[in-house]
Amino acid sequence: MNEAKLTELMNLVLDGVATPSQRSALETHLSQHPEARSEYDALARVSRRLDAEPMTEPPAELEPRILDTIHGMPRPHASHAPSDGGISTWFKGFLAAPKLRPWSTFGLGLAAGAFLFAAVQYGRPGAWDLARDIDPSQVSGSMIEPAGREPVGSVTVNIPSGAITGSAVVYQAGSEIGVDVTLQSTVAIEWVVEFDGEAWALQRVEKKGDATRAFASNAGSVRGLHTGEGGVKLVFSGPADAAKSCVLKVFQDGQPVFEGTPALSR
Amino acid sequence: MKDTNADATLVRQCLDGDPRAFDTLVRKYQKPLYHLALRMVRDRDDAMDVVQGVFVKVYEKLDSYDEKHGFCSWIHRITINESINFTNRSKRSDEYESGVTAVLAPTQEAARSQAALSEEIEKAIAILKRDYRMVIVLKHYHDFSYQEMAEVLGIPEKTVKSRLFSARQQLKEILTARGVTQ
Repeated sequence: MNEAKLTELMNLVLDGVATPSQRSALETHLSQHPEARSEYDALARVSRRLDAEPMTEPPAELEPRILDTIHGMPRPHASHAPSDGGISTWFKGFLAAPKLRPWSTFGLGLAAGAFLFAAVQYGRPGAWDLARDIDPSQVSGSMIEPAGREPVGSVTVNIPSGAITGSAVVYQAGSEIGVDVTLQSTVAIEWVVEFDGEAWALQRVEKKGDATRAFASNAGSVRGLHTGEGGVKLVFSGPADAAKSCVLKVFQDGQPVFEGTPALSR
Repeated sequence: MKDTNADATLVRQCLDGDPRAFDTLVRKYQKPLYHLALRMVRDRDDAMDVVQGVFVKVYEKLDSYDEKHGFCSWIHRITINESINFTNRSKRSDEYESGVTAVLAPTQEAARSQAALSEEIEKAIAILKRDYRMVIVLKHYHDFSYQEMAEVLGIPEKTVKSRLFSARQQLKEILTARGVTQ
């Protein structure tokens, strides 16, 4: 059974909409593939857990608040010409729209041409890869700082089991401070970068590969869920010397396995 | 919840001048819509504002409601759009899920009680990608079918299924990474 078929069957069974033969096909496959069985069991646990969760009750004031607002509004009434639905209504409106002026027709034509050109370029293998891929931080093993980046400090992730390795490199590029987090992990981990929220303001997070999948942040930390090789670049505004407050933490199975502050290089 | 005929009747009664008919719709949908909005905007006060805005919009646009589509799907769709607009306006970028103050240090100890386990699940849902969060909430809390989700989200059923699978997988990984294995 291929992966797509297996995924489909797992979904149908988990959602309780599988036919007896689909259920039986999945059971047969799972009995022969322990890894798939373990994956399915874990998903079924999550699914059951979610199904058992109640909806959050709204605050008591919500209903009167809505009703008060609605009762203060003019009453709706049926249109003389009943609507026949979204797209057809929109299409009729489009047809009924005033004719375009020549210059706007020209502008639309130009825009359409540019769009088509961009679409064709985008579809060409490697056509834009150069621009997208130039990120020296992704060059494994390189110790050369990219032009315009001044090193501020770094910390190396070193865990005795060897299952998790990596680093966080802090650098300055103009008015921006970057924290380049690179991790290699064979197990699911959660990383956290804590920073001085008074000094630094997070501007953006740039992903490096797909190893870090989910992010969360608040005023003083950014965290992510990570498996595999890759990482993120966190870009802040603020003074470089606040790097001394920066801490990288790594958790595995909910337990802290690493904590380090970048050693400052200036 | 998804009694399409009853909802369509209430809409018609409202359009015919019966003010109580819309009150019934408010009472029926305020809870699921609040829950959906809360999962999307992740703040109780903001969720209340979104739901109030949804009912105002629905009331204003009631005459454009097309009975061929379920009222339930229609109002859920509006709630999702309003929640997304609200999130965009308040600059809570979903790219890195900012504003998720609930996602703090792992709490394996706390996860032992049922209430704490529910809290862990809430936090895990909160850091899911928005697309994943929507299918999890609609499926597991609102009991929507694949077809209903496809209609509400404006995507093919096949995409609904694959998103649902990926969402559950990611949720499983988040919970495992945070030491919640029950």
